[in-house]
Amino acid sequence: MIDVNNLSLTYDGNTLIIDQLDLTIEKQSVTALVGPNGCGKSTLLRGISRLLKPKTGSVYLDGRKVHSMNAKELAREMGILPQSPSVPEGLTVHELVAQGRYPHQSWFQQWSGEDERIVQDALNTTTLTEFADRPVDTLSGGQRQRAWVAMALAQQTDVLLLDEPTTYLDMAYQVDVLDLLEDLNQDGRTIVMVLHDLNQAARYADHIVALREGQIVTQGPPRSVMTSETIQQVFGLQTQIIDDPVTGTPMCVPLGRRGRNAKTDTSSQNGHVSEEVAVTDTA
Amino acid sequence: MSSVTKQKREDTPQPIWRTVRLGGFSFKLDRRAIPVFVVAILVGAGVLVTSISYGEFDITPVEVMRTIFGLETDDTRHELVVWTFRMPRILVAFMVGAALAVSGTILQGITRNPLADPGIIGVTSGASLAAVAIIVWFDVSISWLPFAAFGGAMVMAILIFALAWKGGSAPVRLILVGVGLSAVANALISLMIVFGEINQVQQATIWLSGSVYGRDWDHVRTIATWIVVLLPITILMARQLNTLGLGDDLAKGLGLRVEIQRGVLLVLSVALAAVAVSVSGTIGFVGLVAPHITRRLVGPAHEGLVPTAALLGGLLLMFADLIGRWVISPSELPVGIIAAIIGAPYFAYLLYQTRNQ
Amino acid sequence: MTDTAISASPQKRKRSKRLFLMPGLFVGVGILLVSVVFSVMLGAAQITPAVVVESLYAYDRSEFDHLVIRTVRLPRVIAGAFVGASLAVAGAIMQGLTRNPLASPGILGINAGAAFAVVLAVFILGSPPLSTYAVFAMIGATVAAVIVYGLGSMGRGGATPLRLTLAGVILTAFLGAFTTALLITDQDTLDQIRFWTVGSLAGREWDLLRQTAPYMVVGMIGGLVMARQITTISLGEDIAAGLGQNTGRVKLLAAAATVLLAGGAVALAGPIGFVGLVAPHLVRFFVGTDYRWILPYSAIVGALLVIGGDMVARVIIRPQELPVGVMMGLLGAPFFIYLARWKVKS
Repeated sequence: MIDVNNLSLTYDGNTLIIDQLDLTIEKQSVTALVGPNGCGKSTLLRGISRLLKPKTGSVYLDGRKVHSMNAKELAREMGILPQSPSVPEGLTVHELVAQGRYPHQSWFQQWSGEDERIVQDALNTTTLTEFADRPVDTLSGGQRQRAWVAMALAQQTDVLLLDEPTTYLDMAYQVDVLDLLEDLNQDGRTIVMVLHDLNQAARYADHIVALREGQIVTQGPPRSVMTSETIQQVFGLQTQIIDDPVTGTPMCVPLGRRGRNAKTDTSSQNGHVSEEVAVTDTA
Repeated sequence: MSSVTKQKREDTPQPIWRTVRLGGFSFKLDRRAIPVFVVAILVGAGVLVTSISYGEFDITPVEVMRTIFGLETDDTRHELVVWTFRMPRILVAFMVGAALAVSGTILQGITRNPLADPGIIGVTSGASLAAVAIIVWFDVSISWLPFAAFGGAMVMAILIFALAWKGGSAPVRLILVGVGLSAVANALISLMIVFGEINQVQQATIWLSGSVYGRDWDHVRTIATWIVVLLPITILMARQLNTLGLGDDLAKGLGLRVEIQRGVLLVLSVALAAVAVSVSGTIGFVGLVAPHITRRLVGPAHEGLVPTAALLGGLLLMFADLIGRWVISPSELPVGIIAAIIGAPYFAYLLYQTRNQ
Repeated sequence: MTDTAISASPQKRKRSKRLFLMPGLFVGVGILLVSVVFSVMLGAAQITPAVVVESLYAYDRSEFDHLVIRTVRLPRVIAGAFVGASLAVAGAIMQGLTRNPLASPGILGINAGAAFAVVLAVFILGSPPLSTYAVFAMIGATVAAVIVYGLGSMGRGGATPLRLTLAGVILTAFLGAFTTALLITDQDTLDQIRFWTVGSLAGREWDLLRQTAPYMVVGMIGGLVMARQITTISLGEDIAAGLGQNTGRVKLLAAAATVLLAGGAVALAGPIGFVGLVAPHLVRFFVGTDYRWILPYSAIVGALLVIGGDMVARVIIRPQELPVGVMMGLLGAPFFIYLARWKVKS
């Protein structure tokens, strides 16, 4: 369980990106951080992962203060995958995934049979075994992302933090990665990810945290967060909420100009101003 | 943590490294490194013998080998020439090349910038400034030279790190501050060159271009001692170098204490460069080019990269020394100049090779 | 739908900034003229401003002071102004072209080319007059620029910032090695050349100025004419191409202007570093990103920097003088470090 207490984060010491935020992330849940650009979701993730030192407040992992923990100790429990990570030229998939074993190694035991086995497992899970000897920079976007996830897997952490793991990927690969993360969650891992796409968040997350200007506007299961009012409040976007025809989770459909015009047409036809029509009952 | 298996486990291909196990100690090494290393040693031996045999006083390679192994030779002068004059300077060339190559490898690793070399971050200009000051300004015996150069390099390195520190040691800032401080040092050096007495200035110019002329066993001992200590430490820190290459965020996420490790590695790099410069003056390009060549041969994993780069750097400089002695014989061109003349076109070739990336 | 409230003030600030730019230019020229007068006043023989002005309007050849001013000081100062302006504009163009804030004539190998050519000339010809230096410097600079540009343009994407810089580094090291080799083998050459290689304005006379000025003037005009294209290309080549610009031609012409400017400056005063690096940065603080303003302001600031630096260099170790190139290094480098420390985000 991750507990965020009164956390304030800043990059330059003055402007607060995250302002006195409180948040609890349940064990073995999938949490999605959503919000408009600049709302601080990436910053929050960095704050939780200890990449950013808090100005005020603290982050607790299972009761222990994250910032007081030993670096390697934390790395064995919490893994982070930043946005658009860079990879040295010529590094193979196998070598990259092997990097994930760093927190488990020492001067003496630099590479054990156990390490090798875990790396193989990670490669199998992400179906990258046939690419093991290929340089990472020759892979497609989707495969590359899977390689990074494989590395995080090799790290064998209970908690996985991912910053926009699906941005810049082809749609097929986006779904691929999210399905993989879902599997990992089924296996008992806690996943916290920053997502750009609301519908993906609604589909894959147990818990959505909506941020705006450094503060939490609302949080909860997709059903309760994905309402037109909330989306209007957080994103300034007018939407209509329907059920995803495949999974049944809430799905937001932006109105846009056509939608808004259609609405006013129907409303003038009907002779009264209507709110956005909710197609489903609230569960 | 349950391990996740999907489908049936496919045939796992052989990883491209070997695991070295000695007792409880284990260490992984890129498979490509081993053959390259062996070949390099063989070539090195060849260059060594050739280099010793060449000179004003020609000695056949066979004679050279016999002298080295202490067997009877035709001419007793061979022993003198080989052991007193040629062997030490060639060994110095080798070790300086190795030290510079490793220094450059470390720097390229911690700055994640393939253009980094000890010269760029200003360490060598600090050494140069101290050395030139000794030669041109202070009327002190030149036996102080190595110490001054070393001290100058260290002071410069501390200055660079201090000025670039702003909550962290971002690689870009390190490079830029290094460039700036180099410029100050170079301006001061120019000053001394302009106003100094011409004989001393010429001496200084030679030192500045890097030379192994007249280097004796004392020099060999100095540099060997440092290398014997610093090189193994660097190889042991290969993992950290590998992980740093992933970027600060990921490295921290993997539990690496980035600032501390970077600091330690920087100290290693500076020390190696300082020792090299203090013994032979400023030699550029080896620290830049050797890691590049090596990386193409053995890959970016530092466990294999560091020792092989050391070997290749040493080879390069030995070879450059041979050329320097040959090209305008009986005079000799300082080895640093040859290194640049070879290094620059290689780099241009590199540009050409990667032109479509 | 807004992430942050867009304040109205940046618009207002922009407008008022633009209002100041034109008159600012005139003010700048005025300051430049004043500094020329001051610089001329400075020297072993004390001369009052009145005499300076007099020497310009009512030149009396028999008056010693007038003689000193007209034949020794004035050409030197004017040369300094030309050199500073040219290097600054060359640096500004390069920074715009390569989108690299560290670009400058020194980094792109032009100085090295000129220096090598001059050393070669002295090595072969003995001790030629300064004007010969100039011709060789110009040739060397041009050849170097061609090589760097050619090397940097190989392959897909043409001359990218990184490749140009790399090519410059390579050529500088390569030529530097040869240059040093020559200097080591011949002590006389070394003695001759060492003062020139650090960049100096001492002894620059009208003759030399007359020979080198045309290059710099043409380069300056060329640069100013292309200012708008340079602004566009500094946004990024894809954007420029998308806006219909012939990026290949722009890069070539801008590079040509740079060669004329830098080559001319080096021919006149030897390789002086940092002006081309520092002046455009200073200017960008006040002027923004439009090269139509950056270029002329850089010229003025560059000229002021060199004149100022030369003034300091002349007094600081009286009666001897410091070469202005050294001065620029000592002044420019700390500024560069300041830039690196405070302005580069990690």
